[in-house]
Formats: sequence, structure tokens, C-alpha cells
Amino acid sequence: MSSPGTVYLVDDEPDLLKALSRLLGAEGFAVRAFASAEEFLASPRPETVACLVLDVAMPRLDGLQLQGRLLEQGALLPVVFLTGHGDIPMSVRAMKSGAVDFLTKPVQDADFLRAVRAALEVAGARAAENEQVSGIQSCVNRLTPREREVMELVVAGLLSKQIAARLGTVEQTIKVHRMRVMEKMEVQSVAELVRRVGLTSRGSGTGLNQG
Amino acid sequence: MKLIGNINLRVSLQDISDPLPAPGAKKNELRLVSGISINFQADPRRDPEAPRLERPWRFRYWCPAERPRARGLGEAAIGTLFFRGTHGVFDGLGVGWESCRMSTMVWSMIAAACFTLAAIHGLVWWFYRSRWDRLAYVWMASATGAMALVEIALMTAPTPEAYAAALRWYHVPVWVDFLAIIAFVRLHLGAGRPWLGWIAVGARTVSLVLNFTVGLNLNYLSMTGLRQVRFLGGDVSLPMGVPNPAMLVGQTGLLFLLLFVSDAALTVWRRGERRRSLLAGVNTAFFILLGSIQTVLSHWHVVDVPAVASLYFMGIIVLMTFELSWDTLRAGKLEEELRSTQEGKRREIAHLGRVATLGELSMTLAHEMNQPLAIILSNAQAAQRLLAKPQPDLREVRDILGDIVSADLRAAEVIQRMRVLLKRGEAPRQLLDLNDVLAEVLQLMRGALRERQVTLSQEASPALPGVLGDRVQLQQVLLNMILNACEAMQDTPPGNRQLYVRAESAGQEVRVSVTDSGRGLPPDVEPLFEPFHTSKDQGLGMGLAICRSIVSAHQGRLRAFPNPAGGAIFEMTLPSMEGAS
Repeated sequence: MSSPGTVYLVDDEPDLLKALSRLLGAEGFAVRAFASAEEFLASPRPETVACLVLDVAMPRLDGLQLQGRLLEQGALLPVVFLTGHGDIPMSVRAMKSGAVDFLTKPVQDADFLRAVRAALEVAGARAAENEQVSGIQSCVNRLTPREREVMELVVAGLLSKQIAARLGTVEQTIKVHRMRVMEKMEVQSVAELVRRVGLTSRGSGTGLNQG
Repeated sequence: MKLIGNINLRVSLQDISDPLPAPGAKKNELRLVSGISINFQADPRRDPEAPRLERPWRFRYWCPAERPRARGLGEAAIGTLFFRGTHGVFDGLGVGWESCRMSTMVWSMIAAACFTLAAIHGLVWWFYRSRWDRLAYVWMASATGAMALVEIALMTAPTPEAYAAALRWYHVPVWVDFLAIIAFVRLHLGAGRPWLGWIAVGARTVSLVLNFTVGLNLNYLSMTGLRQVRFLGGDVSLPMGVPNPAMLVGQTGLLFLLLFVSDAALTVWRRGERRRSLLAGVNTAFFILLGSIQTVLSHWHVVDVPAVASLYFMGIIVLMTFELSWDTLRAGKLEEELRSTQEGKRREIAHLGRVATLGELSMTLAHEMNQPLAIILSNAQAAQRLLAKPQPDLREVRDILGDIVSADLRAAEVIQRMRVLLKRGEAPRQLLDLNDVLAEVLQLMRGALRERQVTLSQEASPALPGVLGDRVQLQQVLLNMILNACEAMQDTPPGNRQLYVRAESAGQEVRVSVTDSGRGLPPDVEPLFEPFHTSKDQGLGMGLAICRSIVSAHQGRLRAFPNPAGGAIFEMTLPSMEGAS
């Protein structure tokens, strides 16, 4: 991987933070280390492809709580947990909340790097998807309200005649709208249109109703 | 002045008028050649008309070495002389003078010894009033002392009447002695058939009644006179008279006493308590047997020995004293052993408490060990990767090695602290800075605090006066105080788990307080310090009880107060050494 991405390290043990940074640095990762969850939350994170390596046991805000906080904020950061003594319920909870991996200290470098790479891959894929979604979204934003209405009904599988009846207009007008939609959405077929629209609704969750 | 020996003057009335009086001596005055004059009076037995003396004396006269004639005089004298002694004159001349005979002296000593023993053991009994055997012993010793005094009266009795009266009273202490011996054997050895004892007591009591009702006394119906026999270098009176058949009752009592004591001795011997059997049982039986034989023999004039029963009773008492003192010694030794055992137990319990505390902390401590291991592993593997590169950054590798070393040392320190806490036994008291002790404990607790999401704030006086104590045990107390504070904050929201540790000097004391923001204290805090009081799911509830016993052993106090801001304050106060010295 030419540009592996950024790894955020959060651990209250400065010496371990240093050691893990060195390990990741030796493998060419960009590393940003934080001594506490609060510090991490407070700092801006402009990086697009990034993952979070998180210590579970920390004073005040612990790893799992930080993960929950990030989910609430809608930040889609793949998380690798590190723990001194993890038990099964803890790891289940972490994995259910979308953790990429749950590792126990002391951690073997190979396991650790594999987990970090996997997390970054997830981050990369998400970033690509996000890019695509935002592309589609910008296409959608170019549509007029009427065109968007028409598109939704097309995607829902209605014929032009049916759409015209539903919207109280003539079939010919719908056909023009439909052509405009295909043009603005940069697709050649209805099938392609359906796929693209599907992506946005899955990706952002906000759907197409967003104005 | 050197004494060359004694002369026993035996002067009869006729003798005195004849060869003895020195020139110028008046009648009834014996003038010794040495210049001492003694007023004397006639022997009342031989000369009934002679005026009686209030107190007849016999005397022994030591002749100074430079006056050989005095010795000659003494040797010439025969008979018994009764005279009024004038101590002052003799003493004034500085001549050794003895107003009593050897036997009187010995018997006085016996009496004195008996009364002394009785007094000592009476006092001991007063403090251990449950030991009734000791009271029996006190009675025995007192009665024997009384017997010895009456025996002196018997030996020095000038007249058969005096002798008979003394002999009658003699049976009172003998009776007391009887009872006391039986009581002692029963109470001390816990042996002896009661019926034998009752027969002995009964016979002796009957004989005591007969002593006062039949004849002159238990031994004689009537007395014909006194014989003077030599005893211990002096003359003593021995009775002559008609024996009282009632004496057989008394001797029956003696026989049963002998049987009772022998039986008890045998029982105790069979029980395996040989020393007690010998000292309290066989000893008594032996002396009673000896006394009985001598009494019977002398009564029937087989041997000419005065009544010396106190001598035998004295023998019994001496050996019983040994037995009782043995008990006292053993009691003292046992007490000492008990004390050291208790001290050992306290140490053992403190150790168990430490083990339990570390058990509670074990997960945290494992974590505490794990952390440096993780640091070491990641650092080492980072170094491996760095070195695998074509141009390794050696400066970075050097930094890594430095970090590995310090992480390793940190792990070693945790192990060392744990080992110290787990160690058995007690370290010698040493002068300690509680700041150091606290720092060591907090280091060990770091993981526990982090795990429990407790925020620690600390306030330490930089120069704390030293305290004298056992480092490990005080660490144990602080560890428990902090751990308890953490437990108390289990239900507190993580953000509010505030632990405040303060060490300060207060007058003659050093105070460490641990304040938490937990669930607080019950209205009555004392039960917290009692053993097996626990609010936790795990643990024995011994922690605070052990801590308080440790702090008390350090002359300190461990107390709990409610925290005005919610939660609890536990405070340990120890006397500071600077104030003391």
C-alpha cells in the first residue's frame, strides 16, 4: 500500500504509546498519538483514511465509552481495541459496536499490524464509498424538485404513463423529465440509476429526501 | 572474743552452797569466776519451799578463752540450775550468750519458715482465689508453725502440768494439719478415695474431742513426771505418765490418713503425673509414715526423742512448696508462651490480611505487570523492524533500548513490592517517612485506580516527621484504606470518583487521611472495624479489623468520619518520632 493512511493511537500509558508509535512508524504509517480519550475528541481530524487504536481501560472516559461517543457523532472510524485483560462480554460489546479487532496486550507486532491494516482497509473502502456517495449526492442536488420526484417514482419501478397519472400531467412531460434525470445523474439505463440511488440511501442514511 | 565451747552448768541446791560460790558470794547468788554474778533460785521441784520464778531459765555459758578457770568451774558443776538471767550484764561484757538451746532455735526457725510460707502463699491465694488447694496449703503451713511453737513449749516444759497442758493444745494444730493435708491432696491432685479421707478426718476429730475430755490429754490420763533427755546437745523434757487409751483413735486417724495419701499418690502416679505424685503424694505419705513410727516408738519409750511432728510436716510442706511453686513457674511460663503465641497470631493474621488484599488486587497487579511487558514487546519488535531496514535509524533503536530497560525495571519494582507484602513475619521497627510508604502503595495501586476510573489527588507535606513502624504493615494499612475507598465508589458515576489522599504532621502525630466520594458511612462506624464485617461481595471483611490491630500495635489510631461533601474519610494517626525524642 503506497499511502497506508493515518493511525490514531489513544492510550493513557505514555510509554506504550511511544512503543506502538515506533512500531507503526517503522511500517510507514502516519501516527497521531493521544494520551486520553478527551484529548482525542478535542483535536481536529482532517484525515480521510484513518483508524483508531484504542485502549479499553482508561480513567474517566474509557475506550468503549469513546467508541460509543464516536458512533453518536456519526464518525465512521474503524476501531481496533487494545486491552490489558479483556473478557468475552467486553469484546462482544466492542465488536457489536463495529470494532475491527479486539487485541490483548502484550500484542504481537504481526497481529497488531494486520489489525491496523484491516482497519485502514475498511476506512479506505468507506472513504471511496463516501466519495461515490457524495458524487451521487451532488448529482442529486442538481435535480429540480420535480425531477427528483420523477426519479423517485422511476426508481420505485413505475412506468412513465403511471407516473404521469400520479403526478397529474401528460406522459410526454414525464419523458422529458426522465431524460433530464438520466442526464444529470450521469447514467445510461434505469438499472444503473436504481443502483446509484440505492448507494446514497444506504451510505448516508439521509436518503434522497434531503433538500 | 573467741568462743571456745559451752559448758552446761548442772548445779543443784546443795552443790551451790558447797563448792561453787565464789568468794564473797551471797546465798542464792552464783558468782562466776569471770566476774559475772547470777542471781538464782532453787529448783522448785527439789525445794518446794523456794520462791518460784516467774520464768525459769536454763543457761549455757561460753567461757572466754583467756579465762581457763571459768571453764574449770563449768566442768565441776552438775545438776540443773534455775536462775534469773540478766541479759544486760552478759551482753555488756561482750560474751556470747544464748538464752535458748539448739532445739529451741531449730524449732523457732521451723515455725518462722512455716509462717513465712503461709504468709507468702496466703497472699498468692488472695490473688488466685479459685486455687483452693493453695488455701489448704496455707492452713497446713500455719498449723505446722503452730505445732513447732507448741513443741518448743513441750521440750522446755519445766513441770508435768505445763507439759500436759501444752500437749493438750498440741492436738489442735495437728488436727488442722490433718484436715489441710487431706484437702490439699484432694484439691491439688484430684485423687484419693473420699471415704478414706472422711474416716481419717472423723477419727482425728473424735480424738480431738477426747483430747479435751478424757484424761489430761489425748496421750496421758495422768502424768507422773518429766525426764530430761539429751536432744540436739541440750536437755529436753520428756513425759512420764499413764497412757490414754483414746490415743488409739488418733492413731487410727493417722493410719487412714496414710492410706488416703498413699492411695492418692498411687492414682496420680498411674495417671502418669509422676512429679506431682512424688512431690505431693509420695512425699506426704513418706513423712506421715516416718512421723507415725517415731511417735509410736517414742511414746512407748523405745527411743527417747521429744515430739518432733512439726519436723515431718515441715518436710511435707517444703516439697509441696516446690510443687506449688512449680505450678506458679509453669503458669508464668505459659503466660509468656501465650503472649508470644498471641503476638505470632497477630503477625500471622496481618500476613493473611495482606495476602487477601493482594488477592483482591491480583487482577490489577497482573495488569500492572502486563503493561511493562507490553511496552517491552512492542518496543523490541519495533526495533527489530527498524534494524531490518537497509539504513536503520540507530538513534531510535538506542532510545527504544532505554525504554525497554526502564519498563523492565518498572515490572521488577512491582514484583518487589508484591514480594515484600507477601512476605511472612515482621520486620524490625524502623524510622519511616510516611510519604515514601504512601508513594510505594500508590504506585502499586496505580492500575487499580485506573481500572476503577478513580481520579486521585494527593497532598503531601514535603517534610513529614518520621514515624517508627513496620514498613510492610503500614503499607498494608494504607493499601486497605485506598482499596476500601475505591470499593465505596463503585456505584458512583465514573466522573465523580474522587480519591483524596493527604499526609500531614499534626502536633506530636503524623496523620494520613484517605477521602472518597463514595456511598458514605453507616451512622455507627465501629462495626466496620470488627472482624467479618463486610460490604463487599468478595473478601472476608477482615481488612479494617486487621488494619486497626496493626495501627494499635503502632500506638496509633485508625478512625472513620463522614465526608461533609459525601463519602467517607479514613484517618490513620501515628505518633511522630520527632516529638518523642
